[in-house]
Amino acid sequence: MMKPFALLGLLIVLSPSALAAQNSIFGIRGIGFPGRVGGVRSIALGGGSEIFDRASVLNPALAALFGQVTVGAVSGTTFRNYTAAGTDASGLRETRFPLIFLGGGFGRSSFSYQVSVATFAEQTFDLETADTIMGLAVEDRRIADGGVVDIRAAIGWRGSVKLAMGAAVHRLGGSSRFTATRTFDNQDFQTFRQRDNLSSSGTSFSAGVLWLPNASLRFGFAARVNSSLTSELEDGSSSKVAMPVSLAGGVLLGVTPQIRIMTTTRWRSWSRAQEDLVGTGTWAFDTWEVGSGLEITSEPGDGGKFPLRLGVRYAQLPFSPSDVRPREWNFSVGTGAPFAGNRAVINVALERFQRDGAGATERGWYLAVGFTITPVQ
Amino acid sequence: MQRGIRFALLGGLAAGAVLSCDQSITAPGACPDFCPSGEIQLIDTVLVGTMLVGLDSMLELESFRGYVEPRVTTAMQVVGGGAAVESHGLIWFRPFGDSAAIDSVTLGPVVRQDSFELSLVILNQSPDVTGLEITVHRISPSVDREGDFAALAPFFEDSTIVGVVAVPDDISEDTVSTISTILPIDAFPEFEAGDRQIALGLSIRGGTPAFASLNTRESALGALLTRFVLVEADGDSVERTDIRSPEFDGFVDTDLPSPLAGSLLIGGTPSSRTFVRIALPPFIMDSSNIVRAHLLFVPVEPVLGAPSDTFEIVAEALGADFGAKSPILSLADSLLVGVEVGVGTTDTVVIDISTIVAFWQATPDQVRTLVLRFLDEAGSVAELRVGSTRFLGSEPTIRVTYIPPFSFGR
Repeated sequence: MMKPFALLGLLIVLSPSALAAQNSIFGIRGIGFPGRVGGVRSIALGGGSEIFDRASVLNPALAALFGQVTVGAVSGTTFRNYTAAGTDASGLRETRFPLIFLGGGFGRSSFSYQVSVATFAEQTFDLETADTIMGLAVEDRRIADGGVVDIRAAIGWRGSVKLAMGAAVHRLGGSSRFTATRTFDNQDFQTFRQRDNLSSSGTSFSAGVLWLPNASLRFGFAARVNSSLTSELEDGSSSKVAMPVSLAGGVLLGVTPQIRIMTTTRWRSWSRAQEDLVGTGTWAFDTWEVGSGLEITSEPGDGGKFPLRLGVRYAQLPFSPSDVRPREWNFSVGTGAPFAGNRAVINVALERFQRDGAGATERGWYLAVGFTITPVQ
Repeated sequence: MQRGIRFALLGGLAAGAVLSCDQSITAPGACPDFCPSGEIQLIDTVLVGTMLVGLDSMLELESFRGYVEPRVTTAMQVVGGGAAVESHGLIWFRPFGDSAAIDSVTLGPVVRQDSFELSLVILNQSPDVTGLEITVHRISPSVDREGDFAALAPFFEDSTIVGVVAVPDDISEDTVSTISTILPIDAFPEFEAGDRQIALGLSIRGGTPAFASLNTRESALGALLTRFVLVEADGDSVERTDIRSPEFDGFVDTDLPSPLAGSLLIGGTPSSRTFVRIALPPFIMDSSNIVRAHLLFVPVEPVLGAPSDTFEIVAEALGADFGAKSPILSLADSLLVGVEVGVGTTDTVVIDISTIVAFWQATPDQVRTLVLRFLDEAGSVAELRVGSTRFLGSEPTIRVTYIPPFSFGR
């Protein structure tokens, strides 16, 4: 039998550079485009279940929901296009693993754990521009590939059937490879190429509560504080960017045993980064995210095949080249199915997103596929 | 059931791994708003060689003479017709014998000699002169072949003329052009009595300054002298040809005027080289990316040489720097860069050393010295004399175009 930790390791090894989330033109500035913290079910529900879904890494209290060893992963493909400053780009596509996790219990105790690797921010782009400088036609290309990864170890405690609490320590890490090139249409000039590698590091702590006052009602709360993100280039030069405090809350209501509605709201104080980013001409804003979802299942609770999941989400985006704060709307649909005797679940979500602000509009589709497996009974 | 889980898991992993490699993210940038902050700057500046970098001048230069003699080079240049600098070609052919080959293995005694044919391979000639002729002179083979222009001048009088070779007007550098002439046997009265060796001199006469450049034996396409003979074979006589290549060739030229004190010399006979030690400011050399570097020299007098001649000057990086005998680095052709210069010009000579500087930037431990020389050293009478750092207003400079480190938006 494949060991669960070996499985998680294999997942990470298979996708070290792909462990990132959606990409966006709004992720070129700042530290990148913030990653989503939910699994595929949560994406299908517009992020409304992020604070209740154990395949999500927003609320450490959800670690308490792991009894048996369970692993899960998400793969997502983005198809997008954008218009900005009179420039159109279409046909952009990338596939990533935004989330991998492993959870389980400590024997018969009421404590459980969850280890996860998720995207904190993605900054991958490949931009080409043409210009005439000193009478020379030049073509510039600026490439970034990487982002900031959030490695989390969470401990959950199930105090009763109605209450769970948890805490987590996070390590922010990862690296980005940068390449800048300039080619000249005049052969007298050598091609300019500069490569660098940016390593990021930081530490965070989070805590959360899950309260289930009755069978049809759940409340969740989570908070997170981050240290500054330290970024260091290969030449040893480093910079720090303050990371936000995050507060999140949500409610889930079972309207009937087969119909549930849920909402999760999160606030993050990204504006703390403003002072550190001012030299780069980047504006940083606090952000609100509100996601709501409707889930209709064929059986009560989480069971049943092919539930219908619908979601809508509104999110403010933290980084902008101007004083206009960009925003994002998401409309999603999804479903899932257990197999292998309910010890494995596969979920699928399709999301339409549209992002606007600061002179740019971005439209696209996000197709996410995820699975969770409980290999040991 | 276990197998089902494993199958699903491994299938998911495989699909994910394959999909994760797939991306298409190249897009036109919407700059400056939606590009990383900061620009890729391009700075173009001219640095005078006397500029101090640390405690030393940016350029340190010195010239040495004596690298290649005109008697061992791959080309000989014959200049005449009243040119300011004149030169004469010299060829000593290997001696003939009293017998000649009948076939590939048999020799027979020579019973009669009819004539000689002189064949020359021409490289270049005066582009603006038509009907050029090379005059062939007889030289006593026993004369000191190391003699200079004045010592050998008596062998270039009218009385020594044994033939004339016409040079076609349409010589192309891309093809091998052979010219020839017949020399009568009686033009060499001492041939039989001596050791049967023929030595010839080449000159250009007339009232129009002109030149012709010829291959030498060092090029493997040197001159040939063919003797037409009648050879005795089995009691009969058969016509045969007997061919000799040079055992020595080269040219002698008149002395050039003395150079101005402190000027740097490139070319001439024997050849000169100029060594250039370059110490660009650290913020350019060590921190920036140099995309173009030009070395500029100002001639302090019109370029000397045969009228209308051109030559190529090359710059090469050194493997080590310990003066006049420093070894040239021969790593790649890209490290040998050149520029064509015309005789008589006073225009600034611009040598593109971008590839050499790029090589230096990639190999910080390499000595940053290059040498300037003629591509065909001592193959012509031309010499370039340029100003050193002592010539105010004519000192060498470096024009460097560079890109400072890009900040990647950080």
